[in-house]
Amino acid sequence: MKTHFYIIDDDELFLKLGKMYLEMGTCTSSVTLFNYATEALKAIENMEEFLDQRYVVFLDLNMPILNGFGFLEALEKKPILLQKNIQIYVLTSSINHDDIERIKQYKSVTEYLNKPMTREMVQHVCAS
Amino acid sequence: MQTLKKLFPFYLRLDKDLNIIEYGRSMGKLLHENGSFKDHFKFIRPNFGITHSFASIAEFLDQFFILELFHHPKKVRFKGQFIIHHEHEDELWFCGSPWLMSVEDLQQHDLFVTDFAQHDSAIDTLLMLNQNLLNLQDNSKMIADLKQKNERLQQVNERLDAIVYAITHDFRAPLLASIGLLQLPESMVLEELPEILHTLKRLDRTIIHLNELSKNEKIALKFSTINWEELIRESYHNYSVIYGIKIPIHLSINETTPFHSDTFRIRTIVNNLISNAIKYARPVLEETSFIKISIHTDPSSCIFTIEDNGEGIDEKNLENIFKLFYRASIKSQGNGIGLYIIKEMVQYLKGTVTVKSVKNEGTTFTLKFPNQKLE
Repeated sequence: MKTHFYIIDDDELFLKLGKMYLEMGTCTSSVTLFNYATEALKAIENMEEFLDQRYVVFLDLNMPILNGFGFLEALEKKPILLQKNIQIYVLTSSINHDDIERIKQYKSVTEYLNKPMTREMVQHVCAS
Repeated sequence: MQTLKKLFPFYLRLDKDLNIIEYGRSMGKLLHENGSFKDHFKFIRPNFGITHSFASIAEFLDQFFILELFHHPKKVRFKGQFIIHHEHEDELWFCGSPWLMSVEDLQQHDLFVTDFAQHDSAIDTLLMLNQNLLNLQDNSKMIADLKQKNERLQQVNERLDAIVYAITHDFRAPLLASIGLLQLPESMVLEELPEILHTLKRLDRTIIHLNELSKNEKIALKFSTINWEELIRESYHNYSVIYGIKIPIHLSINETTPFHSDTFRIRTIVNNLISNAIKYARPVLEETSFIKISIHTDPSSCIFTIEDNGEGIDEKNLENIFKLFYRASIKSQGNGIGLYIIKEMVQYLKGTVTVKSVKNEGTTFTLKFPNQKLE
């Protein structure tokens, strides 16, 4: 299925890297980068829906202002957003057990992935 | 006889008619005349079947006695035993020591620990009591010490937690980014080499910062004269090279007296402030960017002010900027350690640091350090 990718990360380098890998993906339709989780939240509220297209969000956890957990809280408070064809992958450098456990509480999260992004990761997401 | 005197400073020698013919040196403090044993002492124990006679006492030689010096205002009691020495068979010797309950008892009778024989169990007990008294005082001091140490440990532990978090996150991020870049298709990797280099340098700076932080805790203060001009020029030059930007610097030093402080900490503080001023300059300003440093020293203190017209800090973030690993802006190339180091080191030097900032206008840090005396 044609996929629109959103990457939310405060680190410019990971945004750039993610874009490079995703543009190599077989399912990629577009890649949008967000420095701030707050901006991504707005974009999700306003995004257009297509029957034959989906959205995949790569979400970093440790970010200033609104971190990954805060983003998920805000998202899950608006069930209407979750009805959209959207999948969320947490993509973080955290190998902290507490973070992994905490993420399991959020039903909106499809999978917990560790940085950095790889070609295999993109293939895996495209295939699922 | 010498042994008796040495072992029992409170001994008594009684003759056949129970007259006191001699007494120990410590007994002399309580008993001021010889006279008859009967006129001074009564039996507390044994209290049945004993009379003031040589024969009667002789029947109880293997028993434990408690005698009371009843004329004495404090009615001192003695515990001990009567013996008949084989060389003086017409004499009764009382070997014993006062029955005292506390150190105060001892003092009340004008006695000292030296009045007792070294082996004396009574004095052993008193010494122990005394020890306990000391221990009690020690204990409360120890508890206070422990409490303080515990709080300190808690602080250190919290910081360690934060550092471990930083290592698993902030340290890993540049490494993982480099790994990610290196796993790109070969043709793309070459193009990304400068980015990889830059990223690894960023990691190195973070490690240098953490090292400075741990040094602050470990290295003792060492005061010497601070050469402000040299220190600032050197730092400014280094960071201009690192960031590849040359921002005009205005330096005004008003030194009425030399300033003495810890060079390592002052240098680290200045490095972090100058590095920030250069790093957060607004590119749009181009040549009108500036850094103004002014220094005023007097015999008691030094006031250091650094002002820039860089990007500034949001008012709502201002109270957090000195926190460890806090990053106010996303553009921030920083690791959230620099200002924390400044705060810690200024505290160590018993100085103060204040900040004023307006977003998109600039930031001013004012630091005050005490002027130290050279040894």
